[in-house]
Amino acid sequence: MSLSKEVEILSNTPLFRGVELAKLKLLAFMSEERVFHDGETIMRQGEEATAAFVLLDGKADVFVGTGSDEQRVASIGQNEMFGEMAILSDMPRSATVRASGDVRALRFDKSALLQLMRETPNMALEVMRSLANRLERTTRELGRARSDLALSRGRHG
Amino acid sequence: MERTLQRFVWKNSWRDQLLIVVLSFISFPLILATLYIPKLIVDDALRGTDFPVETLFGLSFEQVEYLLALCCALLSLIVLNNGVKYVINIKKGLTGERLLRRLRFEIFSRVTRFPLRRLRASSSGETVQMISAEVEPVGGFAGDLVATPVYQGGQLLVYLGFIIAQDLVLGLAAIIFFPIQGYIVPKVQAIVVALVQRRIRNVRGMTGDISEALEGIEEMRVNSATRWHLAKISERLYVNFKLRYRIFVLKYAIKFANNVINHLTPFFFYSIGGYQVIQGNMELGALVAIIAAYKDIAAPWKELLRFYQSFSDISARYDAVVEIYAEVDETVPERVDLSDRRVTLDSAASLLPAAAGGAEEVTLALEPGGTYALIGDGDQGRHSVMRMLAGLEELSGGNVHVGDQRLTHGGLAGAWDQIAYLTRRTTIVPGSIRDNVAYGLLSNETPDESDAPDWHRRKAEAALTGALPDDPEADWTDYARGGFENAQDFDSRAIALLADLGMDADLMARGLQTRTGSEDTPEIVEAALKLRARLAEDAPDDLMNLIERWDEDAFMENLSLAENLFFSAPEDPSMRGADGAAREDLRRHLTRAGIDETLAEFGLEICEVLFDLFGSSDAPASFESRFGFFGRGEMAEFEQIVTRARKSGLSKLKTDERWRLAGVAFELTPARHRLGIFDDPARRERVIEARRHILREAGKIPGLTRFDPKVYLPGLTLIENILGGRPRIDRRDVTPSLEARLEAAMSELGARDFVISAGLHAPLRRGGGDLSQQQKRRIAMARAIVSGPKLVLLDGVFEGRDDDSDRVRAVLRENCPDVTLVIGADDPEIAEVADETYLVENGRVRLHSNIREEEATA
Repeated sequence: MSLSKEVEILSNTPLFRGVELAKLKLLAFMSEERVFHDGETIMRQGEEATAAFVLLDGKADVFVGTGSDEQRVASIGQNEMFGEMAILSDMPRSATVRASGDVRALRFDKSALLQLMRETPNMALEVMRSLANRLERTTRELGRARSDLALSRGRHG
Repeated sequence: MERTLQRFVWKNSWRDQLLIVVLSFISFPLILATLYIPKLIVDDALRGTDFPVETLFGLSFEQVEYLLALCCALLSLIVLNNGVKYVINIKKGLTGERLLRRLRFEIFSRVTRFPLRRLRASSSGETVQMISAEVEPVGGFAGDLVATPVYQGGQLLVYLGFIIAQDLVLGLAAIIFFPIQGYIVPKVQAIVVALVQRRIRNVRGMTGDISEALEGIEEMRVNSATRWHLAKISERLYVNFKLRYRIFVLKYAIKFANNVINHLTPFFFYSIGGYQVIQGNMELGALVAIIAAYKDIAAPWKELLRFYQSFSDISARYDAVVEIYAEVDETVPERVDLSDRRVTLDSAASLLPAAAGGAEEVTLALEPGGTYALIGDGDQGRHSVMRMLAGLEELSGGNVHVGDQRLTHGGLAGAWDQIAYLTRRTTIVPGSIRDNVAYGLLSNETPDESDAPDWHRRKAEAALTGALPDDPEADWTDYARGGFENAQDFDSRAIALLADLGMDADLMARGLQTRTGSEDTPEIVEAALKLRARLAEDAPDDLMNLIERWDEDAFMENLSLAENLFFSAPEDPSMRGADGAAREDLRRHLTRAGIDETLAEFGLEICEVLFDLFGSSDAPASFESRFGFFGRGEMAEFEQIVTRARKSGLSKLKTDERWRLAGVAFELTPARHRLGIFDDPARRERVIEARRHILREAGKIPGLTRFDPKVYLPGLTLIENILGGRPRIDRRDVTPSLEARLEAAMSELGARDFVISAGLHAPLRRGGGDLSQQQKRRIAMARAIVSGPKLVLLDGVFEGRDDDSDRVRAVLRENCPDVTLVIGADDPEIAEVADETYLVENGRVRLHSNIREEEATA
């Protein structure tokens, strides 16, 4: 896939909506393309994070936990970015991502992405917005899980 | 360190100084002779009438012969005299340089022995400034320190004695102003010295400010504090300017006074003496004699004054150095054996107050072989307690015992060879992973052999300058201390250990990335070729879909255009596209293949895309060079070329400019850059056609090796040689990685160990820049384990209850079963594995052994 096509996809990625076209071109140029086949691991929970990805083509699943405890918690579709959280927090990967069917993705190197964020406040803001959304969703889910837990305890206790 | 400059110079170079004095005196008669012979030439050879003359050695000469003989004698004396001068200068320079080396080495070796609190309080910039700049003039001056006063002073005394012997009054008249100069010059010079010392202090402060500002450069920018920092430096520079200005004003004032006074004496001679002559009270001859005598005396006197000035100036610098570096902890901590002995801290307090992160009233006991947890915030005393146990924290009170032995000075510093202290900040020394593991076993004795070419000279020089003669390149590992037989034994056990610590894949990956010449390592080359042949016959799909194999008839997405065209790799991996495009022979091959014009077009197209990318946005300069198309700063030149090419066509460019564009095109790797240049299949076909032509016509091209299934390519990494192709860029992040997939095949062929060993020895980037924090910490752990420690302190590393940390600690226990382990952690979870747990809060430590019980009851 050539750069111009990738830029088109990036401009449709929610994260990059506010980013000007010139910056997007640069971002695409700084990235590298990756191909994954069905079932191949794109990132693994607990590993050190060196890059973030944007899915160009195909689908991927997100799993939490290891071994038999592994649970699918979400899926990633075209135009979505993933893996940026561990880059920002400097923590190991919080989840495993696997390709579901053939996947084409853009890989952004940690240092390049951070540099671009530093220089593009709009983009940093978008990243913050998406992280805040995710946090909000997680908090809501936690609240629900807690009340479920309390309910079930009440029932059994 | 000697207190004064004179003592330092004399103690360390008195033999050389005496030799210089002797040489100076040897030159003295030579100088006189060169003055005397011209007189002989004029008086005897030219004006003389009495020929033939009888000379020394009973030779007799006619007039012309005599003239020639005297001239020849003069010439040889001049050569001889200057030869002696040359020897003296060399000797002076050599002595000075040796003293300078000694002083610099002494300063650095003192800094390494500084109390740690002092090191923390000073910046490295200061030391650099002192070692490099401030002591520099000492070298230039030291050679004169004895010779000048002896020689010039001697001359002065001889002349003076000579005159006084002739006429006491005349002699005294000639030196009448000396006492005044002798009084004024030191007075003013004392002010200069005080200023010099202030200047040095100011410069030290400035280097401190500069280091501080640079260390906090991110804070500086984020807080927009640049201007304030600039103002601080500006102020320092102003003070520096003011001091330097005053120093040279005073120096020139001294010079002025000296010059005037030196001419005042003849003034009085001429005026008063002249008056006396006119009045008939004095003979004219006597006056002329006085004036001549004065001239003789004035020259050495001037030299002495000048010497005094530079002496006090340099002496002041030396004093400043002594002031800073005199205080050193010279006491060597008494060695203490930790094996099977309990370590106790009793009411120990750090020099740092608890409020500032230190610890007080620390009482704890470590039984040999036990595991202890120290839980609390690192900055609230935990680090401080860990550092006490590491013998790194200075204590202001309390006791440290090992068994019944009370440790006095330095606490546990006497057990450094048995302590390993791991923190979150791992230091990676220059060298390979192996060098970093062996760092825990560096010998303290001089390794006696060396391959260095001028070894004997180095050794001799070191002995002359109080430095170490050791060769840092020699093998410093003390194998015996770690219980290793030799280097091979160490390597194989280090590899096993690193594998246990989870680094085998890293070593493998590193080994596969090394480049090795076919002559250096025939085993690796042979194994690689065998493996390649085998993979060519029968390779698993999951391996093959990660690589692009060399295929003479296909356009390769993962090779650069240059590699595609020549179907070869450069033998020197640092060869760039621009280097290739500058080579006449390569240009010829490409022109014959008829692709030269096309290449320039490709280059132009690439430049246009890149300028579109970089030009339209405010792309930082670093991005240009990131992708290897241009060198630093070349972008502007290419912009010009492109503009002209657009305006008047490629054909109007100079040949060299067209080839520079081709050089840009050479760098293009389609799979990586994705610029769309080769989206058109016809273009790919053009490249393949050109390749066929070159392969058919060119033969062996110097500096390039053709991709050939049977040949090892020294310019490529080991993994490419094994694969007979290039790992696909777009499949790089697949797990299990290519390296892991290759491992089984390599093990079978016995090639695995070679590769891992290559990874162990591959050089790391400076400061371990190519290692992750995790890898650095694992290396630090391996370093700790090979040194066979009795006490291991893990301060915030491998301190958790995750699988990885548990595994690493298990490896430590397994290798060092008797080790006492102290784990410093924020998270109380670690108490689960500890025999005893201490809590550290606000600089206080309390025993909390029953966390487990508490939890059980809760």
